[in-house]
Amino acid sequence: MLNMPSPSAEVLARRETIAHDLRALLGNEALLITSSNELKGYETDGLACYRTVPMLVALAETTEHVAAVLKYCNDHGVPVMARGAGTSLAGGALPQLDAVVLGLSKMNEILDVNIENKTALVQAGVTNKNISVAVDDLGLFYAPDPSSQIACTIGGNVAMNSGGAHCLKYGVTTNHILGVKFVTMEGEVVDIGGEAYDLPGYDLLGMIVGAEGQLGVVTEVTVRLMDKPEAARPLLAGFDSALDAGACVAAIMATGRTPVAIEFMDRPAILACEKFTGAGYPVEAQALLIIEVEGSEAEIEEELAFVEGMARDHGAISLRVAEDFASAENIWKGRKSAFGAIGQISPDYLCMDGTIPVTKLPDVLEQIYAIGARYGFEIANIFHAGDGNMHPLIMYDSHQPGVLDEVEACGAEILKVCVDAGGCITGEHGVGIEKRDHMPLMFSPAELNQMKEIKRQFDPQWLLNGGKVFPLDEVGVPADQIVPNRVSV
Amino acid sequence: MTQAAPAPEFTPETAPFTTPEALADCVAGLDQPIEVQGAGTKAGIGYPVSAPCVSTLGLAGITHFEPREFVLGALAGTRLSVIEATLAEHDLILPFDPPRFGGDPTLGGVIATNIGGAERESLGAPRDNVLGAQYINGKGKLLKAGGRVVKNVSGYDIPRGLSGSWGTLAILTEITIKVLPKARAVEQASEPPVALWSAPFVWRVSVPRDRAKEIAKTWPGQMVQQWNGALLWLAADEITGESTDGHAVAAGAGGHALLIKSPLSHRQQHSCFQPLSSGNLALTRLLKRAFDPAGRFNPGRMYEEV
Repeated sequence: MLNMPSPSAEVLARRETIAHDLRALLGNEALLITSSNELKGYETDGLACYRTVPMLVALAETTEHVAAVLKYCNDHGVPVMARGAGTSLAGGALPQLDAVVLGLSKMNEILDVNIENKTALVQAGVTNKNISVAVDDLGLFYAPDPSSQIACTIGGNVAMNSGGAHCLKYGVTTNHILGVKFVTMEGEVVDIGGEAYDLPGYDLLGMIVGAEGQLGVVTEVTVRLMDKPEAARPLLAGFDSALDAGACVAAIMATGRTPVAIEFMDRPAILACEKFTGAGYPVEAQALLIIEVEGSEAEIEEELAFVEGMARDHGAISLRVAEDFASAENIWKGRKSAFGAIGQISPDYLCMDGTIPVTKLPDVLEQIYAIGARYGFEIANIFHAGDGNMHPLIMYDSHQPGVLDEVEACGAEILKVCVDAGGCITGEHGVGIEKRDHMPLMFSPAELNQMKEIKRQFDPQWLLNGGKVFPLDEVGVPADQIVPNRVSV
Repeated sequence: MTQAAPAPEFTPETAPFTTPEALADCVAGLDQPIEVQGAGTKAGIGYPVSAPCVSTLGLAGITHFEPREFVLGALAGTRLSVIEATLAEHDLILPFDPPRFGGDPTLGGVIATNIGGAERESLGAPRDNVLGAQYINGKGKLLKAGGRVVKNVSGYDIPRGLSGSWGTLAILTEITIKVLPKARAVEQASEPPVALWSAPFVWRVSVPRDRAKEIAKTWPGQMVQQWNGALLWLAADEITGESTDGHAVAAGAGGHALLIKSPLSHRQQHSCFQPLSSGNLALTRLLKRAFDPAGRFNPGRMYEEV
């Protein structure tokens, strides 16, 4: 069971004054949310087992709003946290009880598209998918594609350095960001990078992308756009054992012929997705792979033949190639709605995000099933297999008393297996609150301290998005302040 | 605290440190700044540092190599020629093909300077291919960050933050990188063009590619384009004003320039690095304070107080 730092009674006592001042700064009553009903809309994110209602929500319409709110919070010692769409699976958007949530969803304009440079300048609240939609006519797209791409914002992607299925070929968020408008806790607005490759001086972008919104708030982003492939086609391969499917992935990757995506689902996931979407998944299979290749028609034919051969060699019991756009969309629809599908068959689930070297897939899968069996939880595996980014979903029913502690202990064991296999605790979801206490699995106190030193330099009062990334005893929160303030449902 | 060790007098040739731990101990005992150097192929870039020179050349050797995973780790002082020979045995290559500047640079130097090669557009800069790093911070702590897998968002992205910091934030001691099958590489030409190397001033300029044409029209000296116009090499015989200053021209086009060749007398007076906006400089100094608060590493090489 995870705790957040207990709220400051002193800050909460100033709530009315803070609300009054923020209203004045925003210049519009409607941009400050104070009613408990509306505030409840900001109490959680994609990690819905944790809920805390923030003190206030300020909706920014401009970079100036963001700068004014941050400066106010900095000057007056008020915790603050930026929020995009609230899709984080790691509790990255869970507010503190005494915090002002700075909502960026109103900043949702695409400001510029430069065809020659293949860049787009967008506000932080633009959804990931809308960038690609906006440049589709130009034959371009924005490559990183988190499963939540219809809802999640580019600002949130930048904060968490999000990945996605097609990152196997194209790389993750940090490889596609050329510039940001960055607002510091002092309210200074700094333009970092631009449309050119790489940065003069330090790689400030590298430091900011993936810092989980703890160093400052990004209000605009310049992204790289990629040429849309001529065509892309997925292949669906069913296997009668998860270990065969894992071995097939490892063998394909070892050849160096990287498909654009290799997605894995085991039996519980196949059944749930098939029931939910009717995508035509092989329900008799114990595991399936979605392997997508792209390029010209001739390249696709050649790559598909290669992938089919590999799948057969590893005992595939069914093979289906998407014949047209509609059937390709259908295959992906099943995968992209997988988390929702699991939600239909289990009241609750916890999604893990450990990453491992691909050659360890069969071995790690076996260990995950053994851990699940020992705890008595069914585990569905849905993940980006090509880059070893696993998403075991531990299914549970939160109405059982004390079950969340068991689920989290089970998850912790899985993450330890990932780290021991040479991997990491989170591949694309971020640390948030969820993996906060597992950071010592990967980093020594001195290593965590170096990260905290960066945070301290950017935010000496530790007001911005607190209670995340670092174990609470590691951020100097006194033990008697670490009290549960979550409400589990 | 133990008393600080006497100021070291090291030259790259003596390369006394053969383990990261020994180098970390040395840094922990420092009571004065040092210059950090690998093979020195880029020693002519940046303000000359007047401090005893510590070499990483003793930290040599490949530490782990998983050809089936396309992952290689090596100590920072390992020469690129050594790494490439090992990769070649498995038909693998470096995804970034950094300029050699006529020498045999170290992996640490390549990452610390983040100068990418001809395939920057499709395969990324050195920073895009770094998976993990071991480094020594200004307090002499030997630390690691990142890991050995391609997807990793566990904590702040320090390996990328150290890329391009020219040894002013930390001393890289070991680096894990992504490598590629040879079949994927298409072009290997990343050296500064020979045609303009005889000029006393040469800038490497990164710009939005739609601005290359106007620079070509107004730049009085020689100019060579790469990366479809996103990378320009500009040469000048002398700097007489903004129109002959690569930094000013780059800034005017929304990009940035690195002066990679210049007379020593010029470098003693002017930064080779693109002047930063006050906001960027302030953030740069925050990072410097976070890693090297006492200013031990390469003081002033990039910017004042950095």
